[in-house]
Amino acid sequence: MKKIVNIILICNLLVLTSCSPHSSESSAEKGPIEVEMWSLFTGGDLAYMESLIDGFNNSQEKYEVVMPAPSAADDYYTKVVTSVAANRGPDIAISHASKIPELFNQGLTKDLNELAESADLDLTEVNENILETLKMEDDKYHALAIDTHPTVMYFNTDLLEEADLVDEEGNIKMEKTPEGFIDFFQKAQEELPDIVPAAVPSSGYDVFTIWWAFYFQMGGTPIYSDDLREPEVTMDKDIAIEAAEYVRRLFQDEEVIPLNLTDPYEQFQTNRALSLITGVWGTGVWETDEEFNFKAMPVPQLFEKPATYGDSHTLFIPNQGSTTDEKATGAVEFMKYLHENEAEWSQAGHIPANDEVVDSEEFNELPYRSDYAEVVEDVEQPSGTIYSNMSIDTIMRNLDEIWNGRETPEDGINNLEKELDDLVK
Amino acid sequence: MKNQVWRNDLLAGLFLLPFFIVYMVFTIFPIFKGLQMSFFEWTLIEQGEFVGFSQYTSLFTDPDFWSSLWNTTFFVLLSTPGMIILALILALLANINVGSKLRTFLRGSYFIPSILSVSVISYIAIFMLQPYSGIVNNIINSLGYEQQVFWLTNPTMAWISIVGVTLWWTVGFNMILFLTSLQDIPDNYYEAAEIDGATRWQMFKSITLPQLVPISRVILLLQVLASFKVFAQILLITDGGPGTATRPLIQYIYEMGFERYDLGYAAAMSYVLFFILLVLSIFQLRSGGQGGRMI
Repeated sequence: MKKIVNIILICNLLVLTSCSPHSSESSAEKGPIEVEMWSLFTGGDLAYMESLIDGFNNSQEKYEVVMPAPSAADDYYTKVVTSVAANRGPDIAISHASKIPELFNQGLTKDLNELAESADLDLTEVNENILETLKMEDDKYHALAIDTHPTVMYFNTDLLEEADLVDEEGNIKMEKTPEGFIDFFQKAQEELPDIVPAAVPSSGYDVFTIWWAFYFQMGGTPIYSDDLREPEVTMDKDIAIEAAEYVRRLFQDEEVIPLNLTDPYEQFQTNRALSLITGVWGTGVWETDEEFNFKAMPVPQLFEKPATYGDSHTLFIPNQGSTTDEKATGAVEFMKYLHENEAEWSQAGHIPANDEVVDSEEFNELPYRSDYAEVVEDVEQPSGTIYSNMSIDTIMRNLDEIWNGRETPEDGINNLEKELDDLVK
Repeated sequence: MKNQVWRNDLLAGLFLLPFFIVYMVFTIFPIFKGLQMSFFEWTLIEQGEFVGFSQYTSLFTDPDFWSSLWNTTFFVLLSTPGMIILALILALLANINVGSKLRTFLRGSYFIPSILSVSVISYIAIFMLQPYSGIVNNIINSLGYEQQVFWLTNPTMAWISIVGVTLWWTVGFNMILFLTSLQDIPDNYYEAAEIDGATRWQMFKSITLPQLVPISRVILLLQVLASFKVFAQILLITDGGPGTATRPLIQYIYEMGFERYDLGYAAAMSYVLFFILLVLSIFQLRSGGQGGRMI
């Protein structure tokens, strides 16, 4: 009997101890100081980031950056926010630049100025267009951008030649006007009837970025006023409708983008689509396929001013007790290493945020990137308020209704404006 | 003697303690915590001001709340009849005396989808329902219908897809419940009916169906509760889309809580859903035949 009671007590003890938080790491721990990093990378991005982490770990002995398997992008920020709030988050983490104001507002980011100074890292050595989105209202930087990833257009060069849409110098024969853009794809359709002229899913992120680019090209104002916590919706509704009408035409009237494509990447890579509009990460993927010939160019300027959609990957240090000063110093050392080696990171397709790297020979020797590197000056980021990143889902959902013909551009944009108003209230 | 009883109770209590602790921490405590949250402004990381019932009153004027509640109700209305009728048909098929090997095979094949996780069945569904390349559209095209069917991007087709996938996935569990009940019907009822010259249809109508009424009530209750909690397969297959056409209430609760970080409002909506389920359960339990009890 006593034996049974003892066994049960031990079982209960096990349940209780497994519920209690782990005791802090032993101070007697030896070896390098472990710096845990979280990211949302997959595919090519992940492989290049792992290689950079290895490079950093081999370059010195004091710190060791470890990166657990990245979590799905959908839940990533929820996990970061809750874990940091519970003092169990990473010591350094990736965040999109557009998300930094929200994280800062929640008190989850450490300011980097002093830490960077002691590590001899110049936080301002970043493209100005990105830099201004990372300075928070305390006049300090809370993240270091490592790249910009704008939306660009990819073309299958074999198909371009087949359709006679490229001149002898390799320039694409496209008149950069709203009608010229459509004519180009219609000509492709005539020449190559079995080929998808432009592969873009009729819902979700990529098509949202196209609308965004044209909205700003038409002279659209920022979606929100410049107020971190209490912005007003300043989206120019008429221009938003006009841009939505133009993109809708591509799907519905002109039919240069088929509705409901679900795997445009596969279609493009298997020579079934002439072009694809997506983020720059495609470059790192397709250039590994030696038999696949493609070229990249920025989303063309069809309207009054140059503009495109883009965001940046940044690194930030969570503001939590478990990130000791030692770990934070290690995290900044890793930031510095990445900052200096952004050319390697740009192999994934991104444009380095560090201007010096953009001018470097190492970067310019990489094919494709230089074809779209200058676009970084024209990038319009969704940033500046705690709602900017959060709104992307709302914008996408309302625009999807327009592309798929369930709402007119007027109704869709009216709904969007109302939802954005509700969000900030 | 009394001492012995006391010792047995203590022992039983100790055996129950591990489960009790886990149950308290992960079920009972969150229930009360959720109730508390619904009266406060509460972000993902911190408690804000006490706001009384204001989150409950504001959700009544929130069109997104109503549309997602309707979507959930619509799913219940669409899925429940099919889930019961199909389960009954499958149970009858699995109960036919067709040789033990074939019968085991039938039972297994009806039930196997139920053991798959929601992510597996969702990704299989997405894969099969793709336009241009999915197997379903290819079969339809090979039968002579040239158009592409957009299973997941047209609201009507999206509902058909979700209900179809859910039926395929979970009907096996209801079938097992019907099957056990079918096997509990004493053979002598059928023997007596046969002697009286009853046809198979008469036997089904007058013996099988009435005998299945109690288990049907149980299945109805379980099914309505399960369908009201629909979330994961919709999130994974259509993400509530196109637009918000298939977004159920739990997805809206999830979005408000974990994407917009408004846990207080999300908790208030959870309590409204809890109240709806409670009322439905009481109503069904009360109307459950003799003695007001169904289980």
